[in-house]
Amino acid sequence: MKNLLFPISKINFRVLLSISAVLLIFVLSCQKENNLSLNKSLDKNELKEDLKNEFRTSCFTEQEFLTIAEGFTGFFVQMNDVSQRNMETKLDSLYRSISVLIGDTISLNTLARIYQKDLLVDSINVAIFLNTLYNNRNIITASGFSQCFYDELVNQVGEESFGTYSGIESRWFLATLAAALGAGPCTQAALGCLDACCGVAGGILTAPTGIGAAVNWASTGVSYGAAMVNLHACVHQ
Amino acid sequence: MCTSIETMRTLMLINGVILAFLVVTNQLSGKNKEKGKGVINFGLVVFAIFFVIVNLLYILGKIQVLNQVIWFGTILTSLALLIRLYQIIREKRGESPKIKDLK
Repeated sequence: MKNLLFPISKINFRVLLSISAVLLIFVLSCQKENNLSLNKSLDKNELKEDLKNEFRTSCFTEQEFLTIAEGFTGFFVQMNDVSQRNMETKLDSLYRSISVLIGDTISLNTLARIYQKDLLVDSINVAIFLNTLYNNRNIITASGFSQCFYDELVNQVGEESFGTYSGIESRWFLATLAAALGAGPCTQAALGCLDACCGVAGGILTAPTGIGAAVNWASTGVSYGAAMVNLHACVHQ
Repeated sequence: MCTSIETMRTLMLINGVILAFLVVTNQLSGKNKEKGKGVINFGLVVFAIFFVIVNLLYILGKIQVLNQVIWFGTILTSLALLIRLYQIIREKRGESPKIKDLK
């Protein structure tokens, strides 16, 4: 048993973190591919002031649901309009624009410009959408929101209104928004601290010498510094 | 469009992957354990100084300066990694002075 565990115990935690980073990028890429199947629009008239069916979820109130859904509708209708540019191109450019910003604190103005440019949504609908996000950020960034919201939307307007727009895809989209709205730096700060600890542990356990030591300790210092910058972004977001 | 912070993070990620490769292939660790112990203490002292400076900058709210320090550290790490990789390649090709001496 000891022999079996020995190779595992020799692996540096930094390696595990690097593997996690690669896996994360892979998962995000796969989710982007899934999103390409999004091709059917929500009809603006589907959501009325009164709900068709009984309100089921306990994640938010009926009024909150209506407010959020109404704020989203105009945006999604224009986003799903493929008369000028197909959905694949739109989502691809959105993914590229967002991916370079993940982890940073970005302004809503930047986000608005990205949506206008990449998704061809006009400024009014983007403004309504982002105002809805901002005003309801406590509800939207709560865990389980996207699932609850999607389930309730399906309950009210039916699965067919989404076409191939499945639950997983909508969850990814909202999760990306939540990250862009400030979920990133806090996670990165925690990971940076963990990385710095692993760097210290790695330096003690593997005892590198010469240039290897310079690499290890400089990298550990940089990880800790980056963690503190992220912590600052996390605290002041 | 890549921001400068994004460029720095990309560099840090690349550095992390190369560092992981060096650790896994056991090419970062020195063979001389006694010398290694001395370097541990030296490394810990350097890190402790850096730790204090970073915390001080954070408390004082000098985030721009902190960013510049991280940039400096990232470039330093990249250079050190390149030198180490160069050394490894030379050793593999048998051009390393140590291997020549053994021959």
